[in-house]
Amino acid sequence: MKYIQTLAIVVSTMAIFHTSFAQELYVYSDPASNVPSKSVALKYGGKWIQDTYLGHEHIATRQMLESSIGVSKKLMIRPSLTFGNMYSLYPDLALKFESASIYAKYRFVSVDDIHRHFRAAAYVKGVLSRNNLQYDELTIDGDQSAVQAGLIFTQLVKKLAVSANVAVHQVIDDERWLKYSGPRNFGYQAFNYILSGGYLVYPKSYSSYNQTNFNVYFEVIGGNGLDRKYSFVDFAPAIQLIFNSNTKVNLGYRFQVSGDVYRMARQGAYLSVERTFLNVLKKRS
Amino acid sequence: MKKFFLYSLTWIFGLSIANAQIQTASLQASGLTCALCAKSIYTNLTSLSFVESVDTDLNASAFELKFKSGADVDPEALRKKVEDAGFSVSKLILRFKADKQKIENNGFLKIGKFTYHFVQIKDAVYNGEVNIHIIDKEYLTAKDYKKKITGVKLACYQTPQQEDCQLPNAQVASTRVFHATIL
Repeated sequence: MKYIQTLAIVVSTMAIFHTSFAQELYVYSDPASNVPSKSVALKYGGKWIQDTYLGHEHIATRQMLESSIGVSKKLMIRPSLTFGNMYSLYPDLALKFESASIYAKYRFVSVDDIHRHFRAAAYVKGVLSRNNLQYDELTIDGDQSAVQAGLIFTQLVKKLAVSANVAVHQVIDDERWLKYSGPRNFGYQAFNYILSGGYLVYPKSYSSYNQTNFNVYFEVIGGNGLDRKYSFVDFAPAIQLIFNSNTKVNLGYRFQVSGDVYRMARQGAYLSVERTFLNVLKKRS
Repeated sequence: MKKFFLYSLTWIFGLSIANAQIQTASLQASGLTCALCAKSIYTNLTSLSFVESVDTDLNASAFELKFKSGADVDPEALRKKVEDAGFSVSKLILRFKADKQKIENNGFLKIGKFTYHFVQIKDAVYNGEVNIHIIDKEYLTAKDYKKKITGVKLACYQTPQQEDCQLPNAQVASTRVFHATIL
């Protein structure tokens, strides 16, 4: 029932988008499309949450660096690193190296029409993290060592874009394979999903590549434990500015709207800056 | 000698050779609405050695191309650049200046290195600007291609080989042809 309610909210939100050009350059998720072949996108991202440790309130953060590389028109890879203090003991808040990961996405369906497309892609992400399992919530942001494999479907119909991302998540922390017969504190498997939509607010009509674009996004991010039962549904509204058709600045706020998950924070702010370098891996032909 | 050989081919197989060059083109891409997406197509197209300049109509996802003088314009290279950016070609119109150029229905015209096979046209002698609309599958939307298949009755339309479009007794080396019509 909870899922039906969530779905109803998502569908009605998406319905609003048909009044203008939809955008699929999502802030919290990836569309089924890739970065262009032979192009590279460099991204810095930061996440900030309010943390409490033994009564001490403080802001904890994770800083992310990633580069998306268009290997071909169908395949992209994305190595990334994270640094943070979310798993540090207060008052030691120095940023420490936290995780390294690699993401690969293959677009296997692409049906294009004028101002319209349907795409499907499969992806896998592997994360090696220094953090130990401390919470129910399983992420691919560096919280724990893990492998996640998923499918993304993106439909752009004139002015409406909808994207769904469904994934299975497996923790690969050593703890999982320890010989131990007692009760486990945390689960190792989850079903994660993201439903996304976007809306171009400005410009109403394009005139040049140098025009600043302003996009508004709304995403629903959810997770369900498969071995240990928990769930959560988050809403994540975000805004995006695109400068010179190559630099994106994203600002988002993600907050939990339902669920019984044991997690580090129920809400957090997100800022990222991404610069795309088109056709840099190819010689002039 | 080479010229003589080519003219012989012309006589035998209905292959004409245009003493002209594709000078400009209009290309429409499909599958996108964002300016960032169009920019990736623009950058890819400008990287081609035979392209002189590219003008973009962002709202229509359309690109006006000017080619370098004396350059051979390769429609396939244009298409690959659009696809590398992550999108598709939905319309490609190539333009050249004809000087009393005879073009026949179901005939061939060689412009530079590339051969075009014309369908759905009336035999005529063309003077001035000619708009060649490429109608191969990868250069149209799925819908437009379906319409073309119904309209163009030739089975060879669906293959890219020149020999398939010849009369039954014709013997020519396999040559890539672009099926086209004139707008």
